[in-house]
Amino acid sequence: MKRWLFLLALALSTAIAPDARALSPGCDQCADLPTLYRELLEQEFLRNRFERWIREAYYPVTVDEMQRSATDALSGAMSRDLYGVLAPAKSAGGGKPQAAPAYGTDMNSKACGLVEYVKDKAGNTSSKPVTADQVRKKLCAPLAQYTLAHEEHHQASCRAAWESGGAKKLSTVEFFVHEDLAAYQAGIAALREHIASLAKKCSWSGSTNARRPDGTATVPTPAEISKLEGSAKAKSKLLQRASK
Amino acid sequence: MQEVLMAIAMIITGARSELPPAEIEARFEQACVDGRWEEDCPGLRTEIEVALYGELRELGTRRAPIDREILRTAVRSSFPPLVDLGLRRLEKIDGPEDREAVVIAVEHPSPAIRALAKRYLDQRSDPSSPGLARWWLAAGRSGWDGLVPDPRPELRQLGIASAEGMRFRYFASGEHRAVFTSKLAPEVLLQQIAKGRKVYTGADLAAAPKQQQAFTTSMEDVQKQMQAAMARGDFKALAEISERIGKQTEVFTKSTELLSMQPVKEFAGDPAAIRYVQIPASKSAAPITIAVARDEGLGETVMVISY
Repeated sequence: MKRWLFLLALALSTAIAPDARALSPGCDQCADLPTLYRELLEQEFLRNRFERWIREAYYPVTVDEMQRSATDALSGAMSRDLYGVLAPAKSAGGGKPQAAPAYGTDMNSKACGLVEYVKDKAGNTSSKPVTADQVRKKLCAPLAQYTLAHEEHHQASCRAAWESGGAKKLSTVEFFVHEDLAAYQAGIAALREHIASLAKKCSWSGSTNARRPDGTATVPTPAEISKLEGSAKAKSKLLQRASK
Repeated sequence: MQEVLMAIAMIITGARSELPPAEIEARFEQACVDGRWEEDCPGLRTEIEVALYGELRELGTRRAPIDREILRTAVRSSFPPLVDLGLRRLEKIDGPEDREAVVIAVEHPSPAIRALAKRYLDQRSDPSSPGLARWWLAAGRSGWDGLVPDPRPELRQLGIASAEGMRFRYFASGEHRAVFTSKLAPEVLLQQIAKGRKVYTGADLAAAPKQQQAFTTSMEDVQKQMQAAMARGDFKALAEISERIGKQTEVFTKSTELLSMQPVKEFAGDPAAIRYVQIPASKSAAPITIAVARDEGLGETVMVISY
C-alpha cells in the first residue's frame, strides 16, 4: 500500500536538516540572519508554488509528482537567484545546492505521527518516527518552532479527516496542495516572527509596517541591502576616478 | 563616535565640506575627477569616504557580501577607519590588484593600518617584505589609538628647504627621525639638500672612537715629551711638539663632531657608501644629522634625518 506523507522540504546539500553548521546554537545571533532569511525565502518559494497551482487550478497528476516538482523547482531556484544579495558563498566542493525532504506527517493512520527523513550511506531516503521533543533537540528553537508549526498543521488536518471519516481525501492532489499551502504559511509566520525580532536587535532595516496583510511579521528586505551596495559601488567608482 | 571619526578624517584630509549631503557626490564629480582638483576637493573626498565607511559598516552588520573592488577602493583611501575596514574585509592578498592596494596602505599615516597591511604582505612572503622589515619602526600604538595618524614633521624642523623628488615614509619614521626615499642618486640628493656642507662617510663615523682613543694616548706621550724638552730647554723641540698638538687637535675636533652623529644601522653594505652631513639646528637644539645612501631592499636612495 502506498504511504502518503506530507513533506517539509528544506534546502540542503549534504544533510536532511537545516544547515546547522552555519548557525549559532540558539539561532539568535546577528550572524544567523542571512541563513534564517534564506530559509524563509525557500519556504516562501514553496508556498508560492502551491499557491500558483491553486490559482491556476492546474495540479500535478500525482502527489509524488507534485512533491518531486516542488522540490526540484526549489533546487533549481537555489542554484539561480533565489537568495539575491544574500546568496551564500559557494561550497568548497562546488556542487549545486539541493532541496530535500526533512520532516513529514504520516497520514496513513489516525495517529498522524511526525516523521523524520534520513539518508543511508547509499543515499537512499527513508522515514522514521520522531517526536516533537526530538525535533526541538535537533534544531535550534526558531527552526524547530517553524518546522513544528508546519507539521502540526498537517497533523491537525490529518486527525480531523480521520475523525470525520474523510481520510480518503488525504490521497488527492487537490487536498495535498491546499493543505501544504496552509502548512507552509503556518511555518512561515513562525519563522518571520523570529527573523523580525532578531533583525530589529541587529539593526537590519525593514518595512515601516510591522505586519503584512496576511498577518505575518515584516522582515528586512534584500532590496535594502541592494540599495546600500549600489550606493557603496557608486562612491567607490567615484573615488577611483579622483584626481588625488 | 562619529565626532571621533570625523576628527581623525580631518587630521588627514582637511575640513569637511559644507555642501548638503545630496550634492556632495555631484560636486566631487564636477570638480575632483579626471585630472581636475579644486580647492574644496579634500573636504568632499573626506565626506564621501566617511559616507562609504558608514555604508560598508551597515553591509557588514547585515553580513552582506562586499565586492572586492569596493574593498580595494576602501584600502586605497585616506579615512583611517575606512582603510582599516577595507583591509579587514579583504582578509588577505588574493591577486595583483589586492597587492597594489595593500602596498599603498603600508604607506598610510596611521600605524595600525600600516601594521595590518604589512602583515598581509608578510603572509605571502611578498618581495617587498624584507626591505620593509629592515626599515620598519613599530609605533607602539594599537586599537583606535593606532588609527590616529602619525604627524609629519615640517621641513624647517628637518633643516631642509624642499622635499622635491622625495617621498616621506611613515613606516620608517618616528619621534625625531624622518625617513624619505628618492629616485635621485645619493650624491644628487646631497647636493640638493646640503650643498657646500662637509660630507662624512659611515667609515669616518666608525673610525671616530678609535681616533679619540689614539688622541688621548698620544697626548699622554706629548705631555711627557714636553716636560722633557722644557727640562732640557730645547725650544726647537717644543715648537715641533706644539705643531703636532695643533694637528692632532684638528683630528680630535673632527672625531668629536663625528661622534655626535648616530650611525644609521638600517643601511646595509659598505659604510664608506653612506654619506653623513650635519646641519646646525635653530636655537639651542642639537644639530640635525642627515644620512643618505642607496638601499637595495627598498630599491631607492634613502635619506634619514635625525632631528
